[in-house]
Formats: sequence, C-alpha cells, structure tokens
Amino acid sequence: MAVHLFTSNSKIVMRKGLSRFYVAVLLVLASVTTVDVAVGKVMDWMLPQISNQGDTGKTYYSLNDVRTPIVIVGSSRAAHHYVTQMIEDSLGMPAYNVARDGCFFSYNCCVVNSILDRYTPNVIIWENGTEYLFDGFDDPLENLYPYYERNLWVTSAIREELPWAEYARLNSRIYQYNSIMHRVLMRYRGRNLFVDETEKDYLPLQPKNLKKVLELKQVEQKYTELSKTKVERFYAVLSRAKNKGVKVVVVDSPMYSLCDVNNKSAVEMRKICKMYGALFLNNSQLPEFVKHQEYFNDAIHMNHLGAKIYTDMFLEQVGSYLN
Amino acid sequence: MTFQSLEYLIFLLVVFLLYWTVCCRSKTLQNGLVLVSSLVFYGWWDWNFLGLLFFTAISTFFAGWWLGKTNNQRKRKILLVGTIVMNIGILFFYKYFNFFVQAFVDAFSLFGTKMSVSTLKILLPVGISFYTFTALSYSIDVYQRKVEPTKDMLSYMAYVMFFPSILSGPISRAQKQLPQYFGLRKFDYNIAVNACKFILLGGMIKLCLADRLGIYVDTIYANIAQHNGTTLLFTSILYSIQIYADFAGYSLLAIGSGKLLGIKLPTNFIRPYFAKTVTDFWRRWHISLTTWFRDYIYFPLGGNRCSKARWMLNTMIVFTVSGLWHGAAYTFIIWGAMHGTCMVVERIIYGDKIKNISAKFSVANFLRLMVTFSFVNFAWIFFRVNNLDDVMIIFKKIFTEPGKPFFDTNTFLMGFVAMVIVFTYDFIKEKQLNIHLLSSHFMVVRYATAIMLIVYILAFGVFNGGSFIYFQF
Repeated sequence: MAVHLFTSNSKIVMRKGLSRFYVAVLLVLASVTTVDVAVGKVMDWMLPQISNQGDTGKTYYSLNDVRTPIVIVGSSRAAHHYVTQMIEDSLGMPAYNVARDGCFFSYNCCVVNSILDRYTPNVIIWENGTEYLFDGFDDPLENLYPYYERNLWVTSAIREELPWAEYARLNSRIYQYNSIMHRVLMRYRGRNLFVDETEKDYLPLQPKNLKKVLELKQVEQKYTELSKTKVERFYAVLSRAKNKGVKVVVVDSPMYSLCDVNNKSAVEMRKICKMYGALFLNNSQLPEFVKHQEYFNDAIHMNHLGAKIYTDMFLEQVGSYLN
Repeated sequence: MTFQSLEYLIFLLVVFLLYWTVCCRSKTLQNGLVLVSSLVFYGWWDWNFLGLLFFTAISTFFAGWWLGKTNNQRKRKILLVGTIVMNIGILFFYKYFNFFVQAFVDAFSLFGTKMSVSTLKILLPVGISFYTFTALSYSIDVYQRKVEPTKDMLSYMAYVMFFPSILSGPISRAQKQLPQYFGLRKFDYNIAVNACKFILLGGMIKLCLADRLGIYVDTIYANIAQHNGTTLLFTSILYSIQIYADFAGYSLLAIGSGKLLGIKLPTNFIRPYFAKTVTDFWRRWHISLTTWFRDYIYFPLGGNRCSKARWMLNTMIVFTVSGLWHGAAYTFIIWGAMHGTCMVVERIIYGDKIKNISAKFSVANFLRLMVTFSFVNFAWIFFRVNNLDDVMIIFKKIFTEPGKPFFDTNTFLMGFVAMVIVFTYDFIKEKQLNIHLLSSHFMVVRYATAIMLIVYILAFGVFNGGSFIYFQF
C-alpha cells in the first residue's frame, strides 16, 4: 500500500514537472516569436531607407528600385569590370551597375526577374560565369534572405535551391537578417551622411603592386553535370526578357587563368541565348587580356586600367547587336 | 545530423516526448528508446558502420560477462588483453593503418631504400575513438573489479551507444555512468530546465563564436603563403578560441541532451584558458579523455609513484599517445609530446607546489596565465595545420614577416561580441561571482536572458559552419 502511494505520488510529481516544463518552453517560444516579429518589422522598415547604400542596400535597390534603361547585373566581376559611365556615354542612355560581390547565377536570376516585373529596360548586361549552370557550383543565396516570402522569385529560388532546414529557419524574421542586422542599423544611422556615388556603382579596383606575381594557371573543371533547375531557370528568364522586348547580353569577362571555354555549361548557355535572341559573349580567354597581367589585381578581377580597356572593347562587341 | 542542426532539434524533441510519455513507466522501454534513437542518429551519419559499433558494444559486453564468471586470474588477463587488442586493433586499422604504412616507407627511405607500398582507401567511422574508449572502460573496470559485470545487455548497449555522446564524447565511464541505465529515470523539472540552459549556451558558443571565428581561421589557414606573420599569429590566437568554443560548445550540447533524458554525462571542460599552468590546463581541457588516459595508461605505468625518470617517461608516453589518439599525423604526435614535455618541465620547476598555486588574482598568477595560454596557443598551431611544412612557414613568417594584419571587420565585430559574452560567463564562473542570469532568482531575468540568447543566435549564428572539429577524431 505504502509503495503504491509512493509510486502514484511520484507520478503526480513527474506529471506536474512535465506540465510546468512544457509551459516554460511554450512561454519562451511565444516570447521569442513576439520579439522575432517585432525586430523583423523594425528591420523591414529600415531596409528601404538604406536602398542603394552599401552591399545590403544595393540588393534592395536592384530588387525594388532600379529603373535605368541599361542595367548591369552579376557578381564582383561585373561590379569591377564594367565602367558604367562609359557604357552610359556610349549608348546614350542612363545605366546602373547593380552587380554585387559573391552573388552568382540564382541571385542574379532573381534580380533580372524582379526588374522585368517592374519595368522594361532596354538592355540588361548580365555577367555570367560560363560554369554557372553546373550542378554543385557555389551559388549562395544568403544575401536574398530578407526578401524571402516578400519577393516571389527569391522565395522560389530559395525553395528550389536550399535544403528544407534552411527555409524552415527562414520563417524567423530575425534569421532573415542573420549577420546583416548590424550593417542595416549602422547604415540607417548614417543614412543622412550618404553621398551618391558618381560611378553609378561601378566599383573600380585601383591597380596595386602584387606581393606575389600572378601565374597563368589552368583552372581545373570541378563539375561535370548541369543543374536542371538552373538550366530551366535560365530558359525562363531569357524567355521573359524576349517576350518583353528586352535585349540581353550574357557575357563572361576576362580572367587571368586558363579554362575550357567550351565546357558543357558554356555550350548550354550559348544554346539558350541563341534560342531567345540574347547575345552570348565568352570573353574569359581573350588573348588581349590573358597576355596582360597588369590589367588584373588577382586571377579573376581586373583593375580599373583593365576595366576601362575591357569596357571599351565590350562596347564595340555589342554595338551591332544593340543597334 | 549535427547537434546544431534543425534536424537534431526535431529529433531530440521527438525522443524527449516519447521518452517521458510512452516510455516513462519502464526502464526497459527507456533504454530501448535510447538504443533505437542512438542507432537512428548514428545511422544518419553512416549506417555502414553500425555493424562495427554493434561489434564493439557486444564484444565488450560479453568480455565483461565472462570476466565476471571466472576467477582464474590468467584467464581473466587473457580475456581482457584479447578484448583490448581486438577493439584497439579495429581502431588502429581504421585510423592509423595508412599512417603507419607511410611512416614505415618514410623510415626506409631515410636509409636510401625506396619502397612502393600502396595504402588503402579507408573511411574513418565517425566517433570510433570515443565509443571504443567508452566500451573499453567497462571491460577494464570489470577486470579491475571496480564495476560489477552486467547481464542487462540493453542497458549496456544504451550506455555505449548513447547518442548525445557517441560522436565526440564526453567519454563515459562505466563506474559512474553505467548504473544510471539500470534504474527508471524520472523526470525532474529542474534538471530539464538546466539541460535547456546547457543546450542554449552550447548552441550560442558553437554557432556564434566557434563557427564565426572559423570563417576567418579557415580562410587564412587555406592560404598560409599569402599572409604575413602578424595575421598568422593573430589567426593562431583565434584558432585557440575557436577550438575551445567548438568543443566546449559541443560538450554542453551533449551534456544538455543527456540531461534532458535524465542521463548525466561527465563534465568535459572547466574554463581551460584560465589555467595557470599546463598541468592545470589538462585538469580543465577534455577532462573525460584526460582522466581516461590517467586511469588506464598513466596509473598502470606507475603514475608518479616511481622514480623521477620513470615518471617523466610515463608522462611523455601518455601525452604522445594522447596526441596520436587525436589523429594519425606527425603534427598531432608533436602536439602531444610538446604538452608532455611542458608538464615535465613544470614539475621540475614547481615541484609539489604545482598543486597549490593560489587561485587569487595576482600579477604572478596573471603572468602564469599568459605564459600558459601562449604555450597552448603555440601548440595549437601544430594541431591545426595539415603538415609540418606549414608549421615551418607559419613560424618563419611570425618571426620574420610582420605587417598589417588582414582584418575582416564583419567577422570580428560579431565574433568579438560572442567572445565577450563567453569569456565574461567563464570569468564569473571562475571567480564564483554572485551573478546569475540564466539561474537568477528573478523569473523575468531568467526568461529575458534565455530569450536574448535565442535572438542572438538567430541574428548572428553561423548555421552553415559545418560539423564539429572533434568529429574528425
């Protein structure tokens, strides 16, 4: 009898403890959710106010605000290689370089699609590495997290490309601003001091004395298979551009390394461009640049000297297509 | 499925709910659930090695059972040696085979004999060093009659395969941890809350500090030749912090997960960078491994109850083996030997006073702390690099190539805040200051701290930082 009483008493204690524990956990979760929503709202309010300021603002600008007839999209190579002012002067239309460091194919698909949703530019210059369509090629989407479930293209890219755990985490508004919250806050604080760049977001790299002389090396082909999702996305974007009458130049700018210009991804890219009337230029191995180490700051980035010469040459290449 | 992943969080939640609802009335059910969930957890990593894990658990179980049955000392000894050789043999094959083959070839090439021996492509089963040691501790303890051999196979399997500790410890010891599986675990609110605090802290340390610094450290170590000595020195300090945060964070997550299921795992870290001597450092760093080596290698070798020369040799053996345990590379062996040498030197300098260094703050103690950290930091370079050539480059650059350090403001800003939080917490604990945030008497403070930590993790944690450094061992 005593044993039985003791057992049921301990069971009651255990049940009470469990209930108390569940309540505590729920209380913490509810509080975190409240804070999460509140912080998210503050961030959502701040973000448009730093449009086009710094890297974080540049993404906002490219997805929501850019309206120039000529837009240059791409990664750091586009940001450093296309002198916006030269393009603007040559083509006689306002241009803007919305390219951002570390942002590759999927990111730029979202940018191009968002631009096409908003207005009809005359020309889109899309710097696209010829290996971008390979499956497994590093294609980070972190910079688009604040737009998850706010931008259709971003949401679908994230769901297609990332594992479920990542987009499950993206249900947290704070997580959408992971690692950039302080940047948003700092930019917001200094927003009144911000002076618009005259370079239209072309980011010149000043030539520097390199510690180690650049070596012309053969780049190893790491990937073999094309990504079906990326190929389909590329078809879809160029088809939309064609339907809207937007001229698209898909281009891979020079690099100081040797690679296979006819790799599977490059061939596919060329084929898709041809199908939708886009101009495809594979400039990665141009002898005029591969011979000139002084045009480069590293194997994949040209300095201002190289960028000026390259932009000039690029404008000649696209002249007939754009006219 | 790593501890910091969402998959693990869901997995733990499911196990927790089943454990305290469906299985709470029977210890057999509880152990059964632990075993099944451990198999799922381990199989998630690589189900190919489940057989190996089973073999280790079953072989040591039956060895213990047999050791308990016979009183013939010779038979017992043969049985124990057989069990050790078999299990260490498996560990040796998977972890060290290629290393020793290569060392053999290198040794011959020194004498001008060129040999062409092909090595095998062997995949290292994750956690093998940890679960082998956990299992062996049982056989040795039974042999030494410190532990009664168990007939409860389910409990024993649950003990060896317990998922929170199977991948990287803390290495459980049969004497202390095994009896917990023999009885019914009862839910205790305070223990569960405490477990959540461990998990929260561990998650913060791993995601916000270790993985944040890891971004910088990995970038520099991937390209040593491109960076100057100041950057490399700075990186070595950051690596010291990273490895501590990584492993201590992991241990807190493991201990917290264990506590949630009513199983207490051994403490693994006690603020190691507050150590004032290297000897003190090893009382605070990876305690479960250090005590394993102490009890099963150092003491049987004679410990310090022997001549000074023999004691020195014992220390060197233990630390060299400890280095080798970490990895099959010369760099790890040197790392272990360096620590062994330093302990011998300390013992010569301090004598028996080494045990009685005051914990109070003084200039002398501060200097001791700095010297210890510098030595440990210096030794971590061997631990981190890929080969001895890299060590040479790093040391050469540190002493001959000063310059402006490579600085990544973003990483530093976020890493620095986490560093301040972690080391302030450690300082409070070390000095036993009466400041409690997560355990405050005031409910508001407790809850607010927990919420702030979760928000901080969401805002600044690195969720794609990969797995834990110690998983490779």
